[in-house]
Amino acid sequence: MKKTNKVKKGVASFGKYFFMILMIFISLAPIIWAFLSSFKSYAEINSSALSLPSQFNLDNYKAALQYAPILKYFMNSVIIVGISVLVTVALVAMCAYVISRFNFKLKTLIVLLISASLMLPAQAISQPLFAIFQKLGIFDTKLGLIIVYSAMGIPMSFFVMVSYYKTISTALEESAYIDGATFIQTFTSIILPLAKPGLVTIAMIQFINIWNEFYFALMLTSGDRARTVPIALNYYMGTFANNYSALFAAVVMTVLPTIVLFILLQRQVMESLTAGAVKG
Amino acid sequence: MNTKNKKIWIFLFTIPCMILFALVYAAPIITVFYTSLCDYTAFSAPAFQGIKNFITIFSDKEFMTSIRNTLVWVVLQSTLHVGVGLTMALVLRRKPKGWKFARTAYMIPNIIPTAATGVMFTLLLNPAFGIVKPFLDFLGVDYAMVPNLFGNSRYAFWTVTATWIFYSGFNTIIFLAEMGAVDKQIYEAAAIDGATPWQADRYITLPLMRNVCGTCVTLASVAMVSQFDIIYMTTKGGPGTSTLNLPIYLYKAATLENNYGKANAVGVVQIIIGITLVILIKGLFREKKEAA
Amino acid sequence: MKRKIISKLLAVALIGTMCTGMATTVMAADDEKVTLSVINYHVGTDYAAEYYSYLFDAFQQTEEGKNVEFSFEEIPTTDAFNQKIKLLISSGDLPDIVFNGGNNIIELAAKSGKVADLTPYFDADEEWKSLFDETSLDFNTVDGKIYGVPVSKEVSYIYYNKELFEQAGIEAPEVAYSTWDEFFEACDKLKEAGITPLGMDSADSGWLTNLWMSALIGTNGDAGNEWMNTMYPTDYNTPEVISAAETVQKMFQEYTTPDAVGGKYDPMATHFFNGEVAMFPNGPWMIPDFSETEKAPEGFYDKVGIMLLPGNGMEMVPTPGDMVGATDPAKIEAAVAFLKFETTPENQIKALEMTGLQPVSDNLEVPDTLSESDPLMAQALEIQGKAEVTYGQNQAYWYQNTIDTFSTELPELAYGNITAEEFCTKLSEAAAKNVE
Repeated sequence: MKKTNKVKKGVASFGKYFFMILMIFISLAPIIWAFLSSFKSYAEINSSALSLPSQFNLDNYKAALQYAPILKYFMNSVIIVGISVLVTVALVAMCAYVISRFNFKLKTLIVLLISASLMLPAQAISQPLFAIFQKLGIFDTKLGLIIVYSAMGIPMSFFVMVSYYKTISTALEESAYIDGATFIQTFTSIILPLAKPGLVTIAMIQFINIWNEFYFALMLTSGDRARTVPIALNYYMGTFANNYSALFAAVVMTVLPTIVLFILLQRQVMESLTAGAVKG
Repeated sequence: MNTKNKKIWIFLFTIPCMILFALVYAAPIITVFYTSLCDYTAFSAPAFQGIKNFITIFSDKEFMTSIRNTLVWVVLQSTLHVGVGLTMALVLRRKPKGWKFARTAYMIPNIIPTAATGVMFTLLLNPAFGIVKPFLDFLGVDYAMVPNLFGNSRYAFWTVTATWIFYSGFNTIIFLAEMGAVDKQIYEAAAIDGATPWQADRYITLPLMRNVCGTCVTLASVAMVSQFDIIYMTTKGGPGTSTLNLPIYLYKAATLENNYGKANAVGVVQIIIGITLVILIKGLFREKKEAA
Repeated sequence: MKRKIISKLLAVALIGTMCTGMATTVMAADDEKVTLSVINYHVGTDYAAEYYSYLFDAFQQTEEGKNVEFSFEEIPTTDAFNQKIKLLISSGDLPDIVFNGGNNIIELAAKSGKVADLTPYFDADEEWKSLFDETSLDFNTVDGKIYGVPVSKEVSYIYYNKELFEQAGIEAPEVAYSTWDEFFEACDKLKEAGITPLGMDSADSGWLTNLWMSALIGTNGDAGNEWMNTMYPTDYNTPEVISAAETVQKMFQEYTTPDAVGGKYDPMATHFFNGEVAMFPNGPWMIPDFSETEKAPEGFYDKVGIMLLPGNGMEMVPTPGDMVGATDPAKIEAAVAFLKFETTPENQIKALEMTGLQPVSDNLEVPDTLSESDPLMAQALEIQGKAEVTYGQNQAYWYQNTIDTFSTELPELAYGNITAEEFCTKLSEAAAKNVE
């Protein structure tokens, strides 16, 4: 009896590690491949997918920096994405809370509208938005992109957050109200601390979702002051003149700092998660 | 729940979100629905013509193919993709050795720009110099010709699917957050009763994940209804119509045929399919009353 | 002869204006400055990035350009550029100078009434107008008005690898194989020697395959040639097109690399650079790549020969020209001045040397130094004169969505999932989807 248990445990643990290592492999393969490719020449990159680069020099990195204003665009990305993450999280934290807790007229309409926007074709959005933004004087500004991205982030974050709020028991709030706490007091001092893992999760989702957004970044800007990393990557692709090596060099340069940022954010989530986790 | 001035607070809490939302989406939603009923091209302003655009698209074989492909992807994504994410969350929840590393690694593919991912996959799967030939050699599989994974319509659909189906880091973090919120006393009690960790997952964790599963399935589905970038970067809907989905069909109508009215009719169908899915999934994952 | 003198005079005049331009900069400060907005896609790794950055600077040194300032928006890749231009056409916010990234944008812009009619400027300056042939101007004319200033011509031929031909024991013809049968005989011999004869592709727009197919149609009698010189063809179920599709099917199955189906241009070009395929169709802009060691092995340039397509055929299409989106008279004036500067004989030659773009004007005097500095380019220019039939190619003449169908259906054709007739029917169906 004990033996079979041990075997079972061994199999389970093997399965667990096998799955985890497989996932790590397929997740890291692309970035490792991009890293190796960033040292290859045009000829190497277009004639062999598995070979190692013949040399490890920084020529492609220099080329990447020379062809496109990658650093400037990276900073723009950080500012635009950073602020819009904050805005989305703040707005969704509030909106999703009342949707998850109360029934009111228009609730279904709000949910449907939010769902519909997820499916709206980008091309259909860009035209009216272009006109509106020009009238408001926020065309080709960081603010303009922040507004679009914050709005774009609402639907997904909204769904996740509504679901998260539902896991938080209403008992605490009710007793707070009985104790005479106001709505806003209850929200800020009881709900928000409990919702922190959910909030960090939507922050991460929002980050991933808009970090690579290309279309609006192109349509709603006309110069360097608000353009973001995905546009910079286009500088390496031209008809009959692709420079994939520089492209991958740029990818490495922009992805690495992002990973660091990510690790920091994730540490936040996991800290708040330790309370609930079990030992395996 | 009762609190003072409930209505005011509901209003104050939803209004900022709605204003931002309206600023960006109000005009487009109206435009899309209205112009889908118009004769509207790059050469002419919208002129009302009734449901002609819908008749046009529904009598187009390619459009029906694009709906079918979209729906197959929805099903695959909401089962396989979400399943992989859930499994990964269950594994990581127990904090096995290296779990921190795994957790971060698993998110990386999501940060790599699609433009680069597209180039990467087309090079990696190139039949002349990619990984397919060495891989088949390694497995000892016999082949007359190296399969052309993107180029042959027999494989293209599954190849394109494989470019995203395993990258489920998104779902993993959503599940992890939710799992963290489960009261750990339940697990302690279960352990005292002699439940194995997997039994605990099966009978405690999974049932509690019902609601968030619904969320993940919803997000996965709507993402598939509007999936565009990676398909555009790799196959553009081909070969033939093997990887054609609604957004690619829409893109072609708008950009290549200059027919905005038709494109927006496709957009309306896309929205209707999406909302139907949201409602269906909500019903499917509605928590049973006794569980609440 | 006359033209040569004119161009020399022009050159002298130009240098003159450049000097006076510089001398009067101080005085010019009093004049009204004109700012022209430009969206430039010749940036990043674009083949003409360096040339255009030269051109903008040089223009500001001229008499007409000394008061002009540019405000640039850069949009790398023509794909992104075209998307944005379409948006700007419908919103009415076109830049003052509208570069042309293809995509039949001229018709769209003209019909929307957002670009200036340039006919009066051509009529007022006969000398300028005489730089362009009728075909080039017709190509840029919508409803009888000229909207675009073509800056180059597009031609293409076959590059072949002399070494591989030698290995197979065959000799390349001086100008071209006189028939396709002879061409395929050579392919068979290359194949017997273990050499893949042809470079082909299908992704993006299937550029290389398009060049082969256009040639097959364009050299197939008068009917085929006329069809291949037609703008926006709608009937693809003609004997010539079907027969060409059949041949293309065979070429995919027998004469090219396994990755041609679904393949993009770059890996295919690399096959040619690495001596893995013997023949490769493309235009003169590829010549600089032959000597770029990043792309091709050292000494590759000397191994490349040029021939025309079988039957002495050559693809030659006028290019869609740059337009003026300005509405203010002073700006239109300045923008036209820039377009004139862009097409001076000197700058056409400069463009040829820097990018391989073929001059839009015929009979320009090519500097003698070219045959020494770039013998292949000189040879390319020479062989062009020997073409007996010329024809267009799909990117210039077909509807946008039909080019796309061509690209996505080619693999189906290549794997025999559809027949040549079915392939052509699909093209006809796609063409019929276009709105007028």
